[in-house]
Amino acid sequence: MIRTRVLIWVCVAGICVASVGVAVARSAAVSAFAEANVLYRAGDYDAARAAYLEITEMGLIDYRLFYNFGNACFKSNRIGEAIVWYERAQRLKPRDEDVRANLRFARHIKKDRQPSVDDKAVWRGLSRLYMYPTEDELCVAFLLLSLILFGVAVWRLRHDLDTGRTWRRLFRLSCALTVVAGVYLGARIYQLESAIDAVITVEQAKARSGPDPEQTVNFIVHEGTTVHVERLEGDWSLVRLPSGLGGWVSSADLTEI
Amino acid sequence: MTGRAALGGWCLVWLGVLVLPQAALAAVEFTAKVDRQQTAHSQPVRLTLTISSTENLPHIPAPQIDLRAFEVQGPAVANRYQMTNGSTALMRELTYTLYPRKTGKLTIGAASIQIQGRQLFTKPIVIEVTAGRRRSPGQQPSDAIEDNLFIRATADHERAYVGQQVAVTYDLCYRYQLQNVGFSEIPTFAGFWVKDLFVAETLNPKREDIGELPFNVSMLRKVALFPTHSGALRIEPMAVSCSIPKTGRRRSGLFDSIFDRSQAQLVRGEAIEVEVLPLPKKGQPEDFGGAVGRFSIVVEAQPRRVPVGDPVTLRVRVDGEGNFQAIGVPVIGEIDGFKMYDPKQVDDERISVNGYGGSRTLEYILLPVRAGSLQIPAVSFSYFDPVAQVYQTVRSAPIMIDSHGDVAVAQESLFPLTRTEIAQVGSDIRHIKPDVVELDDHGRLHTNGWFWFLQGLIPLSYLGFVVAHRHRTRLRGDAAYARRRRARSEAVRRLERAHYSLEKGDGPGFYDAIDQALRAYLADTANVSAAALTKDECASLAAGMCGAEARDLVAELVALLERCEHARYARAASTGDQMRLAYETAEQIVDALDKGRTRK
Repeated sequence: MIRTRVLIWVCVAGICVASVGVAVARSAAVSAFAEANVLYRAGDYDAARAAYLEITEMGLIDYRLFYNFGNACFKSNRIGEAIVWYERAQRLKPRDEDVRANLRFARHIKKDRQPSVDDKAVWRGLSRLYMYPTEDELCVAFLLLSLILFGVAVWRLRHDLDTGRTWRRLFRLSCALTVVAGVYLGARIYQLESAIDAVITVEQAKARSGPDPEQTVNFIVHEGTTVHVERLEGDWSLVRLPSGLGGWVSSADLTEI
Repeated sequence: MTGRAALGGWCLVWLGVLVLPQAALAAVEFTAKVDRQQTAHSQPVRLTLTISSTENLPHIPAPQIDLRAFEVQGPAVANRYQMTNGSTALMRELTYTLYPRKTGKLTIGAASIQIQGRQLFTKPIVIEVTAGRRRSPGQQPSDAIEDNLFIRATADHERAYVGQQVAVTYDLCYRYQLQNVGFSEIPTFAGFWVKDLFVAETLNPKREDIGELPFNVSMLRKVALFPTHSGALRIEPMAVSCSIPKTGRRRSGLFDSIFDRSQAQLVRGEAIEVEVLPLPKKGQPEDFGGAVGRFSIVVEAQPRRVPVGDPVTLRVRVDGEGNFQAIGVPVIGEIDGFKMYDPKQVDDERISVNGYGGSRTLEYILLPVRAGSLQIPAVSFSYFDPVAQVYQTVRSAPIMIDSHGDVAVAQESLFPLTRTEIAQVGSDIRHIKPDVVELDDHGRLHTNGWFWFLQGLIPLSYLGFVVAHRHRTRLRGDAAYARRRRARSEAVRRLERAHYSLEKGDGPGFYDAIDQALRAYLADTANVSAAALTKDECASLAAGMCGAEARDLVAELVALLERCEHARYARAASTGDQMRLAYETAEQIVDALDKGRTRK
């Protein structure tokens, strides 16, 4: 009995210590973020970039941090790196106007034209609609719809409403919405986890016909261009442009988003 | 070789030198002809330039010709080739349609063209142009085109003041079916400021009797003219070109055609004279800015109650019929108690077939510089009314502004001196996000285990709920099941009562409770009445539950039941130890029976 109590107290103490540790680390990150902002405002962009990098290495995943980091990279003439961080910020907060504007601006001034497929306006509109909610919002929607479905089902069971048309309809609607939300969320998570996009972060990268520096150069991409990574082999990545053009690029020349 | 032969040879050589190059050049003729040399002013003349060559010419340049005295359409080009003995003869015809610009003798100048290094000329042609006939009122209608197709130009004022609106309407009056109607000459309206009120894109005719004959009358154009200076001003005529289509046979009726073939026609209206009077000097207000027409003024200020230094928007709107582009700006002087900035001007043009007008709105920003009740004085606007022929002044009512609070410091720098459109002069990324109270470190929700735990909990909860619901439903509907499910708990409850009697030293009550607990348990599990159970039946039920190997248990059960009966009926005294032993035995029996039942 005494041993059990001691064990419980040790656990509680451990949790408290861990919580305090996390709180202290967060507070330190917030202070470091403010200091990095001060450096940025003073025009010391290289120092600001280093400070932001230090914060990201603490494992923080915050779109404001990524956005400011992107700004510091941009002002330090690292367009490719800036695009990487803007992209990361956009994935967390896709509807933030500042993020979108700066990403658009950075893409606009990079050397290569943004590779794009010749989509029709309707398809582009549908694609935007598909990407409009974030994964977090879809998760919340899925959870809420599941709870509503649960509530409707339990209510129906408790009150023996098998024959009620309204309840039947409500139940079917809840079912359908939950299934749609679940499939939608699943598709988005699959897309997010399976697709590897990267940005060229060197001034120019040569895409070769094979993972070897002696292979023929197929095409040249410049800093800031977004590519899709299909395969990795050693230090080489097989990248493909939206136009279908593909080639092997040194993995050191690109940064995964 | 003799000397004669030598001479002959030389002659042949020279003949070749002189003649052969000439023979190599094609014979080219260049002529001009017209289809008539006398014509009416509105009727076209067809001029045909013909270039004919005995050989095919690789390149024929465009001829040069002076046709300044005519409106020109064309040329239409036609080529004709003729093959004779292996050589190709060429004839090219260029046909011009000429509309005389004036009456009298007009000259078509000599045309020239350079072919194969040679300059060829045609002869000048003189055309005599007579004025067309126009049917005067009372005159009998004739078949002449001029009587059945003409432009009627009318001005709503023959006398006007400088700046007064004069609406001039051009109507096409016709009794033919017309095709290809297009403007040919647009007047320049020299001496006027011009605004188009209506320009016809298609003919939209209305029936109208002119003289004794019905005509189709279609408005071609309507313009608002504003004379810029005084004197007799002439509005030049307008001309349109059209063609009267071929009919093939004569018809009778309203749209009789007197032609049996298509005919191009130029229709020209008549010039209009307008006498323009200068604006009278007498009675001219000091603030008159040149507005002529009829105008009204509306002045409003918002808000009426403001703190000191906050802006008040004063809108002055002048609206009316006339050339509001030239009305000037209503003068507003310094207003006591306000600081005033240059106004923003918005013009709203209003064009309709009835006339030209519009409104001009001036938006002032006023800043109260002191507290109190401040007055915006009346705003006046003067114009000349050409109908009443007097100057008019319209005036707004004064507006009171209630200003309160203290005078703000450095208020001037808050507002620009004038309003201008904002233009982008450069571009850059947007600024960083501000400092934050907290930074996220949890990542995305779908990577969080708690999310999936909660998500999984929902269907599991539902499953549990379904099972519980079914259990409850069965308890309600199946009495045997309900008794079986409750048998143990009922037995325990009765044993507790027995324990309570034990504590109190109530022997009969104790044994009664023990007896009931055991019998009720067996009756519940078998779904029979407890009251009717005999000891033997109890032993039989217990044996059925625990199997044949539990003879000792059955014997203990029977013995305990006998003791209970004995204690209840004989009222024999029992010690506490005996009762405790009986209690423990009963507990063991119930446990053993329950286990046996569960195993089964």
